[in-house]
Amino acid sequence: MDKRFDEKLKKDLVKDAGPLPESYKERVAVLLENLPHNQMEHKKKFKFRYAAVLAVFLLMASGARAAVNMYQEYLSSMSREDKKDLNERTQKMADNSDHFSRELSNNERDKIERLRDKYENDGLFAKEKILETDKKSEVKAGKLTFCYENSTFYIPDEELTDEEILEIIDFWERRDYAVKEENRGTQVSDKGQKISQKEAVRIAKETLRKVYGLDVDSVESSIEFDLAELSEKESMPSYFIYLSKDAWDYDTCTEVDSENGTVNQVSISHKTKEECVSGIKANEGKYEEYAGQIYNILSAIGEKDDDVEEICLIYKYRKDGTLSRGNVKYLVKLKDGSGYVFLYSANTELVYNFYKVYHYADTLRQENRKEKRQKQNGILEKRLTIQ
Amino acid sequence: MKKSEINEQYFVKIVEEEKDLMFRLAYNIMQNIADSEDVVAESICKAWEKRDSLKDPAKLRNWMLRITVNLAKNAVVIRNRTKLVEDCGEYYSSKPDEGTNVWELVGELKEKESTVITLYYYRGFSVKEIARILHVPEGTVKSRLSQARKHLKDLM
Repeated sequence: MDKRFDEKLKKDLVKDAGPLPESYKERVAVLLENLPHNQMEHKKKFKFRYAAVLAVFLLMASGARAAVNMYQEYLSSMSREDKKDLNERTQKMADNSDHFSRELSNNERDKIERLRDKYENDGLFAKEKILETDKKSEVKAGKLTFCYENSTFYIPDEELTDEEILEIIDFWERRDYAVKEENRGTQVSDKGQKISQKEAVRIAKETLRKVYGLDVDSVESSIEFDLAELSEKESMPSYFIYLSKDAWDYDTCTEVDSENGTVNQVSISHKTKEECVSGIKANEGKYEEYAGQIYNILSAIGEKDDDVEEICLIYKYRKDGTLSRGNVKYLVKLKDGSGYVFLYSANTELVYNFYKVYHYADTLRQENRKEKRQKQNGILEKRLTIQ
Repeated sequence: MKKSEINEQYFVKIVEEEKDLMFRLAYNIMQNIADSEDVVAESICKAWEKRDSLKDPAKLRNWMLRITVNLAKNAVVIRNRTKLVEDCGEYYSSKPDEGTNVWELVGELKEKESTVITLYYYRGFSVKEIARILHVPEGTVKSRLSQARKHLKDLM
């Protein structure tokens, strides 16, 4: 580790941070003053809610694997029957959230934090499993119990002991694990979506085959559903399909609109090479020539050549003639005012990301703003319009 | 029996402590003030609305930071598909005699890298704490930090 760089970075981040915008501080203050006091009903977007509570947006398939440790081994030793039972009882629960039969003290909250750390990292597990019951009528006073009927931990009036807290933590962890394992591969609900999961995977495979010439037979796939909310009434549902194969040099992610099957975004990540590197000499002729490949990609995803109004090639370089981030951007303007952005890596010599934009003019405006700012920092820009 | 909940006082305390970080995490991704403010506002509302679903109240801080990053990532997708109606304003700017504002360089990084740089170097969270906030393994955090350092050095 470069200590000098680290120290400098820490200092610079604080020095350059600047005060928060006044508009922001005021907005937060107003929000906090007006926190609603009514309990709002939790939206149950997904059946498998413990596996996907937050809408998660991932562009790149991660190749990282969790380190094996005692905690992982303990969870993975759960029997199939235990996982199935825990998952089924959890899915039947009417309430989306857990409750406690009384308010926890600050000391109890601190203990939960401390003991969770020991549970996950030091193998400090509960001696016994928490008592579970399906009905409120079966709860015995003074005995730590989780009741599925109302999703409530019934806890003694006295301060919780370490063992009791560990039993609660253990229950949370085993439940999360069981739900995740039992619903692996089926975490996406295509209920109400015009495009099914199966069809989305087919579209993703076909796209990668046509655009990158990848052999998509026997490919491994996983899929996530994302419901990005534009407003209370409007949302943008799409699938994120991760396809991978040992024989490929890449991990891939394709975003498919679940309403109409449009490919909104494709991202590939080289397993061993970086897409963005510095020090590569700019080669304008090569980038101009590559525009032909952009047309091929557009055609592969269903866009017609005639619909393309223009392609704008943009690359940023330093005074020594090297690309500033090792990539080249192609902005494609379509006749209907929408467009695409393609990012080409000079290192891997491939388009590693492309996505649809619905208002090309706005995208261009953002590029113009960036250009001004970067010029001040000594980064120069070249633009070419290719018909 | 009474329902337990994160009380308003505790919630406000956490937001006040983390509003600076939440803004900077959002700005790294959104790159303009208005969108960043929207993301943080939505994060606060969402966290308040769903506070009872948080299994462990002591995790409120980490949870809110994660919500902020995830909402910002979502918002960028939405922005690609909606029309810009106003100039949204930039926050960091470099003064000619003072060199590049380092936050502008951080904004040039991929989202995964800018997030760990901000959490580790600006806020001082440990690798373990960052892994908990982002729900990724510690090894992944270390790897992202290493890549981010390399890329920042290239940009500087």
